[in-house]
Amino acid sequence: MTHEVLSQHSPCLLMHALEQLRLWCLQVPLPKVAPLIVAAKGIPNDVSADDLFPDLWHIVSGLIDRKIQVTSYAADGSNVERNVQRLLEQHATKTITIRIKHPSDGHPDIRIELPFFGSHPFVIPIANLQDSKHLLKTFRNNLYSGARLLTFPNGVAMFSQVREMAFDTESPLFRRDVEKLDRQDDNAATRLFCAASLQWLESRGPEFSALVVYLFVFGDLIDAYQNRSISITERIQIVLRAYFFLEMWEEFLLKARYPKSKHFISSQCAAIAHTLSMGFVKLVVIYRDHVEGSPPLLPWLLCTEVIEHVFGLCRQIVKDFTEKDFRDMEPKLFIKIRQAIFTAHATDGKARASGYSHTYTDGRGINMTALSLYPTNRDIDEAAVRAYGEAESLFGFLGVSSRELHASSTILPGIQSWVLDDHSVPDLVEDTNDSDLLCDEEDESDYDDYQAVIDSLEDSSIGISQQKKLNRYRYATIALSVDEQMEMCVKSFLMTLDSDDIHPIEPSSQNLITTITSRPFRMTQPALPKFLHNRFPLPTLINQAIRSNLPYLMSRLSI
Amino acid sequence: MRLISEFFNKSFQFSLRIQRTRQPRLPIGIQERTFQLIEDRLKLLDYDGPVALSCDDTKLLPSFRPYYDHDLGGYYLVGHVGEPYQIADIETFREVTTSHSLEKATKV
Repeated sequence: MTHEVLSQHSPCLLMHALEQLRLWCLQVPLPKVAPLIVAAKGIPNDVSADDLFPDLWHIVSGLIDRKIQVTSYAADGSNVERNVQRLLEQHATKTITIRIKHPSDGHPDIRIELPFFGSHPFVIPIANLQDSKHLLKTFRNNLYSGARLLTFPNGVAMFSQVREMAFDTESPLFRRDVEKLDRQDDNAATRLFCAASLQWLESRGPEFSALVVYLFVFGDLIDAYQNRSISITERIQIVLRAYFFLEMWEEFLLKARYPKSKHFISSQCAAIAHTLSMGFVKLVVIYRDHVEGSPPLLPWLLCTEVIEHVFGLCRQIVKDFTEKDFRDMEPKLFIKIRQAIFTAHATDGKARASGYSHTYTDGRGINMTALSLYPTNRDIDEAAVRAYGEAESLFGFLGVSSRELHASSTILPGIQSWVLDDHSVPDLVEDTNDSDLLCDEEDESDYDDYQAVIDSLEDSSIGISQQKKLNRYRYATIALSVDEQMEMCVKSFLMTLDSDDIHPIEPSSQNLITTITSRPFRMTQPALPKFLHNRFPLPTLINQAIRSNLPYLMSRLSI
Repeated sequence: MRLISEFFNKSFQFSLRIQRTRQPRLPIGIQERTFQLIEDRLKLLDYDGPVALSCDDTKLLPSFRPYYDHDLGGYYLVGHVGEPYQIADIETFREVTTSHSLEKATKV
């Protein structure tokens, strides 16, 4: 390679100092193998995906030319990095489509595009991934954000609930996790999504149900990557459950006309969750069908945590280093990486505001057999059905069943359409702005409208048939009102009972409770979830996660 | 210890350090030698299975420095945007870096 010689006539006027170091690492995805640094290059701050892509393409092409089988490319979830990954996919030699049958009838199959690179005979697929532990922190930060309120059918998940938990004496959280918080704290994110937090929330009552489900579904998504022991089929079920849950949540917000910018996780967070869900399926297909011998899949090693560890070690040697410092410290870094890998022990899960906590070297409890058994396409389809059922149950627990969600919205005609023919009927489907959705004045104006109509009816002379029709509507209103009163009576009666003393209840009430609780969890009755909110226990799925089958993330902490 | 080293291939801390300093360094930028080094290291591990590539950035202290590259046999200017410049002589380097012609990028 020839380089230009720096002389007094060189175009130095155009030279800019570097402000960031871009590092590429290769990881052999087996325990206790140190990462290999491929290349390091300084970059300025303001770079676009188009500026960064040539270097990545150079590296990928160079590795493929040397017959090195790269199976995944991981980066952080920033917009620029995701665009770089998109450009990489666009440069694929060919693409195959992985299809997973969508368990719901009205939806098309899930199509996952798997890009291949290289030329015959060495053509390899590469799955684009993002960092799972970064995503956990993003889910936490979305929950804590004041700019959005995560809204579910019968409840919300928000920061004040977590704050209440942190200030309780029996809480698994520390106060520092919610006050003067470190948004990049891996340990705090793990504590929030751990089993102990779910258990605390479960013991406090139904007002936390939305938060419990949020923590469970997305904590488990990260666990699909970080867990050391569960089977690959189970991991697929977990990632697809998160995928379907997000799909239902989006569908609900769309139907309820809540703006996603205020009531849903950020678009970046949703995009990373989608990449991780689909990326895991891609990895399984690559390791099963395109890697000789189908070695075990250790997904926690396929992320950017490796590089962050290298950066952390660099800063231990020189806190604020230049590009030359990095090159000078390379031999020492080589030793320190190996030292960290071979002497790795569990990190301190109770550390507060401590930023990154590297766990990829933690190899306790690895079940290599479970990680080597790959599901067939049929197993994946079956896992998708189970995942959809679980997502449906969880969303039903939050207040809207799948049937309601997918039903075409029927809107009753306005009251004015019965009587005043010449009056135009207000279009209830028309779009309203955000403030209209939450505004109380809207209800008051509706009430005024109804009152005006009733007044006009009383004043005007109407025929007997119209009078009968009007009476029928009055009776229907009274019947609905009585039904609602009865429902509220039963609800308040149930609220007075303690969960442990169901036995002394009168036989008739006991029958009612037995009938309700013996129903399958997948709720289809529209009013049932709301009605049961004060008595119905957490879904079995979450209870299992809390009590018996503790996922890795949850069991890692000795709280 | 000497007795042991007569019969076993015993490495000491000092000799390990010497061995490490003689190991090839990371090339400047991305070159053909970059891939050769990776291939050699994978051969040392006797591994030909799948590997995972990852990439990330970190903040750097902006500065222009001369760096001696053993493999290319010469001093190179590192710390600027673009391909490395070979430094013809130290006086030129001093003149160029101390003059106001070098513009450091500001954070956006």
